[in-house]
Amino acid sequence: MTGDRKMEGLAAAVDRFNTHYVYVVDNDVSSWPECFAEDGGYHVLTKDSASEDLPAGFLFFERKPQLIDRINALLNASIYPKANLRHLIGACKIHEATGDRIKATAPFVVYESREQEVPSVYATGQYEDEFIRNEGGELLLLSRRCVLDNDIVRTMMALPL
Amino acid sequence: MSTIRTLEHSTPSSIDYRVYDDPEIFALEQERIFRGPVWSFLGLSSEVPEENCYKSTFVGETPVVLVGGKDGALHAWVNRCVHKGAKVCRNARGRAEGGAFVCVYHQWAYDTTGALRSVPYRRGMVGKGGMPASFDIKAHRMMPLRVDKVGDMIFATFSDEAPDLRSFLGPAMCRAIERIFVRPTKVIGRVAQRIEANWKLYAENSRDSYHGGLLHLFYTTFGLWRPAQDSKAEIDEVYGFHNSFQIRKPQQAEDPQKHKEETARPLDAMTLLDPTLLELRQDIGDDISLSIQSIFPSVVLQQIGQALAVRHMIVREPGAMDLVWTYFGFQDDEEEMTRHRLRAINMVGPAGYVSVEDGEAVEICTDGIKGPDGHSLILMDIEKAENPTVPMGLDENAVRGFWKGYLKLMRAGEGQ
Ligand code: FES
Ligand SMILES: [Fe+2]
Repeated sequence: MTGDRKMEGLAAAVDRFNTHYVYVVDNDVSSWPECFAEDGGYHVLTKDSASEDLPAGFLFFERKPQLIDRINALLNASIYPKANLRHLIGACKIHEATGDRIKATAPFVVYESREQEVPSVYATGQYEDEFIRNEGGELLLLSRRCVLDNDIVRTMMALPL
Repeated sequence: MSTIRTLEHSTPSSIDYRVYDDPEIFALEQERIFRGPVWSFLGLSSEVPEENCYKSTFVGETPVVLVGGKDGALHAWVNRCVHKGAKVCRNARGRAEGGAFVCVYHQWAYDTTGALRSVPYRRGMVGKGGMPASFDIKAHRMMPLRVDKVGDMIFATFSDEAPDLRSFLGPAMCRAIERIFVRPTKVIGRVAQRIEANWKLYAENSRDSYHGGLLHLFYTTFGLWRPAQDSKAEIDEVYGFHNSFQIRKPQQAEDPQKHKEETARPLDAMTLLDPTLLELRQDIGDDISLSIQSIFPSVVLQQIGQALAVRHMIVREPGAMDLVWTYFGFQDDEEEMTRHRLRAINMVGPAGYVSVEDGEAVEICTDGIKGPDGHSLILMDIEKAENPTVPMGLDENAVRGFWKGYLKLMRAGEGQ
């Protein structure tokens, strides 16, 4: 019973984190790296590749400085269609919780609205996450693997999923 | 008529914009290029590693299946059941149990060569129904293509008139391909992007080194671009429509000031916090850090640092194509080398630092050419040598090479 309650508490904490993550990527993308621990990884690949254990996908970052580089490049160098992304993350499922580590998954959908176009679904998939807690007890991503259901995206992939 | 006029109005340095969006041109390309005397890319050897392994793909808009046969043989056939035309192979990849391909609709069964082997209820039941006695199973098969490979790249052609594959590619291109496939390879992942543009806009883009430092501002923003670096472009000796770009290392910044004077966009120099993705590792065994082979009509073979990939253009319709990136490494790669390839892949692909813009660039061309008739101006370095040794970034020779070959094929049969 206490185990179940503990799991519920963790699930609530992860869902709260995801609510924050969505807010950041859709409203304040330059703060996106702050969702990650210093050695936090971010990996985007297709379900097709993941199911065959093929590691290469769209992006593969191993540390927070690389995520900051990514945002700097996106905001200062890269050219891509002007669009609003809207992320929706479903309720998480906790798979493992040991010490200060939590492994969880959560389904997501990303809609894309380009100027003068009706919106479309850009991606659907599942986050495969590992969290740790910082000194303040807040959750941070130690790794987020975005596994896409779609094996093709429209035009390009720029902003974070 | 208008189709012919459009082609007549075009020269390699000036393409009538209707060549990109006219559905009649698209239909003629299917006939004269994709089903013409041209070899199209199908896949890598490691995608059909054993007997009965298959990959379904396309040649132009035609669905084609590549299959491993007996004793290392390779077969390719049009994925169309001889009964009613259903797509027989419905998976992207896999292994056919017992080498049998069975159409799900009425279960007509084929072997790896595409030959028809059985038809259910062929003789009917208790004397009723069944196929006519004159029906000869051996007389039917799915349409075969000629298949051959260079390095680990497998190609096919519909045409009996096409020269052998090596002659089609020419010695320079064969050399550039075989340089990369020095050891057995393995696929390490796939991604794809739908580009709402005509396939030829992307074919041009991959041959266009002029845009490199101008569209892709990653290099310049982070102080990594040097147009004067040790690079060369080589166009195939036979047709001129294949092209290879190569750059020797090191890839260090050199005189970014000069480049800044040439560009119209303001550049605030920034520094990468973590440049590991740019590190070059000992890999193929020479000092070439970048090598991009654009092979007519629809494939690019690239080595950008340790990011090895084929980019396969799947031609969907006049205004749409899929660009499928298949990343590969060598079978003897250690785990750290695979990780390094994953880092290097951040530079390329639909999300890559030096390629994220390409989809957008060809889509804005698609938007821009709508409306009144007009034509392009492909003039950079046109007055100098036809077989270029200019450093990358200062000419459009390879783009004109593409069009020279394209127009020749498209005009064949018109008495020129
Ligand atoms: S369509 Fe293939 S068996 Fe009938
Ligand atoms: Fe490009």
